[in-house]
Amino acid sequence: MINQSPKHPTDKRGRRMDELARRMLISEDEAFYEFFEEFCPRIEAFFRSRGMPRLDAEILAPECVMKIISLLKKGKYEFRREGGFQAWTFMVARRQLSDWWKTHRPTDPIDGIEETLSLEDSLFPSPPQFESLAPDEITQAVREAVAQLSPDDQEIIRLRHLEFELSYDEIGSRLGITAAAAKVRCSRARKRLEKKLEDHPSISPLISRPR
Amino acid sequence: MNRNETKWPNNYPDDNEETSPSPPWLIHCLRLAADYTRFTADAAPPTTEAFRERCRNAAEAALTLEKLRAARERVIGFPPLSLAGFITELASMAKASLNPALAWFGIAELPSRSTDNATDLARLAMNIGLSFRETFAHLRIEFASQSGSEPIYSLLARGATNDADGVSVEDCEEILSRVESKFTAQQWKELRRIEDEVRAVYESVEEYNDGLFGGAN
Repeated sequence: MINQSPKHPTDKRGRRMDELARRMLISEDEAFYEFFEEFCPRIEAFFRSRGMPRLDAEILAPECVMKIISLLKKGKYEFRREGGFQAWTFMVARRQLSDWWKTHRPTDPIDGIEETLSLEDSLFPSPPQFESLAPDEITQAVREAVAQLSPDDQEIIRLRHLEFELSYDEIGSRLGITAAAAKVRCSRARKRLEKKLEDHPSISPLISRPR
Repeated sequence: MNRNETKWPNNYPDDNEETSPSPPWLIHCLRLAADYTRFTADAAPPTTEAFRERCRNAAEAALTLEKLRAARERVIGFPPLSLAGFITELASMAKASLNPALAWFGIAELPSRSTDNATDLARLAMNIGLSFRETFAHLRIEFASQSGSEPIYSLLARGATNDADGVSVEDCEEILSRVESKFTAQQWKELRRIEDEVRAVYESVEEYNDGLFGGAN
């Protein structure tokens, strides 16, 4: 994933999704089936990856797709830029997940981690200033910034945050280091990534730096 | 990696004195990038057969609703029918089976008395594109008919102020108000209950969709 070309790898797919959305708008029957086939599994997997039980995810994913279709038909999406439709779809799904978490907030700490009481916040910090950036734009900025890191930094960012989201124990096992060492390396890699992103033209205007 | 669906996503703040917490915006960007990359991967994730079946049913329901919406847009004026009656008419116009849509909303079959299942029917009506006002007017018609005090359908048929466009919802509401003025307290109470059910349906979606279903009055 990290070693892919800085150009967004899903351009072709993005265009295909734009076309699918246009076919939905003219009520092409086959487009409805393709639409569900395309988005339901992805939304279901996204919901589960963020803590929703499988049973709920399998019920809510098709409902989310129904909602997306309804919003599309009501003109809530405008085809302003190529490949933008799947980014918009993702944000609708993300919002539905956020709404689900509001009614399924954990009341007890899990594994003794105090921060689980604010798990919903940690899942969706969504700093307000970042609302203006589409997810594909943020993803592209992260890719470009990560690509500028050293291979070691890239690897640990990938293991901890991007492809795998492993625990420090798991990272330590993979790299042959202790969990504590993995944590330190990751923290330092994040610090370096932070600086790269602060200088990224998409991200820079959105964050205020201490004087 | 085996993504355990019950595993909580890792929370990233560090508690080691050698590390320092990252700013929330960075964690937000990393998490969003991870989620979005998986979401847009070329290969769709594997699913169960039960889930695929559910998705197919949803696709059929969506298609049926689309046809019903298109049929509704061809209707002139406000047909003075019960809600179930109107939906049946739309299905006939659209040459579509109602079954996929009914199944999606958990309706085994259209009830002979729409008012007995106002919530589910209102959800269906809303998804066909009826406003709150229209949906409730259809239910009021049926309720008035059930009350038996006045021949409501005859009154409505005679009530069109503009023959070219048939009965308007305003005409209908005026006639209904006259009929309802003779209701007993118990009938009023029942009618208000139905109204509250329908309003709850429209308001719950209103909140979620930022006014998408703008017909809620």
